[in-house]
Amino acid sequence: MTIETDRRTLMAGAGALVAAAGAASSALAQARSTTVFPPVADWLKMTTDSEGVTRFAIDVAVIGNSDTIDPSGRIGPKDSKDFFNIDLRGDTFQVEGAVYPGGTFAMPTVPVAGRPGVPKSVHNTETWDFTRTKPSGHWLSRGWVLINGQAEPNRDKKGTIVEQRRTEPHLLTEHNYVFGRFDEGNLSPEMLVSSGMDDTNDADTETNIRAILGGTGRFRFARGQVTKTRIGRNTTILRTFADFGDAFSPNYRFAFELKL
Amino acid sequence: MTAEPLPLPATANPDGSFTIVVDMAVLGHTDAADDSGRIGQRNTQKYFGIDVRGDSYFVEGLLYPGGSIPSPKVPTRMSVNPNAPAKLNNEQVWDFTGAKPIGHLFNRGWVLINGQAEPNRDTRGTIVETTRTAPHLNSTHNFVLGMLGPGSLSPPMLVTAGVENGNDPDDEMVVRAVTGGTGPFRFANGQVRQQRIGRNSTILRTFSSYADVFAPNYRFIFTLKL
Repeated sequence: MTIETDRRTLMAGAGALVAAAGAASSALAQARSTTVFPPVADWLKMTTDSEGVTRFAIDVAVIGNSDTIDPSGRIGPKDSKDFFNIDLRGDTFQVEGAVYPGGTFAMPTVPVAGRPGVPKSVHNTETWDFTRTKPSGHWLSRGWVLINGQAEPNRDKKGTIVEQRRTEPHLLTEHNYVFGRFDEGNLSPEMLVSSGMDDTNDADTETNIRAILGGTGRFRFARGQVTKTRIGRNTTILRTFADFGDAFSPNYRFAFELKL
Repeated sequence: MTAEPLPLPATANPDGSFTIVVDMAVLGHTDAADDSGRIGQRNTQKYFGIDVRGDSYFVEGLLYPGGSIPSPKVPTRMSVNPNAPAKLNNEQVWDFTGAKPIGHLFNRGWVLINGQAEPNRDTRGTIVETTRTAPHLNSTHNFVLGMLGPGSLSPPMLVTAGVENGNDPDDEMVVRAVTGGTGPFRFANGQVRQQRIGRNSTILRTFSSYADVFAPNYRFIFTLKL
């Protein structure tokens, strides 16, 4: 039988048992048969419908300072920052974000200029400056770049065109949504993991649907998908675009649809 | 089963699962390996004589309906290992003109090959690991079941995890875990059998120091509960 408990209960229980003379072996036996659950993130406003589908949303502000890219496996020229005119595939990256309850960020409404050559977008509006509330969790994203911006099509040995320029979606990633703040006493908050593609060339129509791969705590048996949309930008600057001046980091809303 | 239409034909099985078959041709020119984390010597393509672990890679493929790519018939040798016997699945059976693709495969992961002859020992001299040259890769696959383009940036998807590629293409079959999906596959559980089906007319970048190492094709047979 599996006993469900949270980490604090387990530690207290284990401590008492160890203190009791002669009981150490039974404490170990209990520890082996106990599933440890992280603290429940009670700020997640989950609803479950009659078909057993659970829904909730979170907001994420990408922290531009954490944007790290590695071009060492890139197909195109490794020292170039002309990202939309070369084959960037082979680049890897890692970036973090701050997680807030869904609805924390205001939806922008006024189109604002962004990257040169790209139409104005309401999602270039700066909607978050990190001062209004503390984050509730962490977002960890890593993966590979999908952009092939080279104008010349790729051909096979016989000269047949097998692939054309493709500048979106930008990324192939895995996300960890960590529903609690890391500290020395909380290294494993509840979590969900997703896989899919990220980011497009038109932020105003950008919707990415990603697969849920698994989770922990209440989400340990989760299946489902998550829909990611843009919701303006924040006051941090993406390291990858540092040469372009004030490339403010995006914010996202993630709407989860799960069977638990 | 979901009431939503599936992007590919599905066959119902007696246990309530469904079988879906997809063929895939690897695009050799997208084969992007990164040896910067490699344990063994860098800047060499003699992968089976060194410890290649630490290499990461990314590669794409084009998806076709199951059965699109014909089975090979002629045993063929490869320049990368000219002394090895000719193998059926080294024959070039696909040149991208026979059908239009229906989607993309995005594959990335790490290399598992430890080809060094000398075993690895612990601090007391005990052998803890010997040469292992198969399987070659530990990977995640995203099967994007629609062609990406303006207005089509999130087609239905399946995601799998597992190992792949052996040293004998005629005796190579792996079974991988389905870890998730989107659209009609958003609650999917199951597994996928991956087997070789000849080679195509693109050339693998990671074997560029050998002559014409054509990229492989695969057939994926999914067994899913939706």
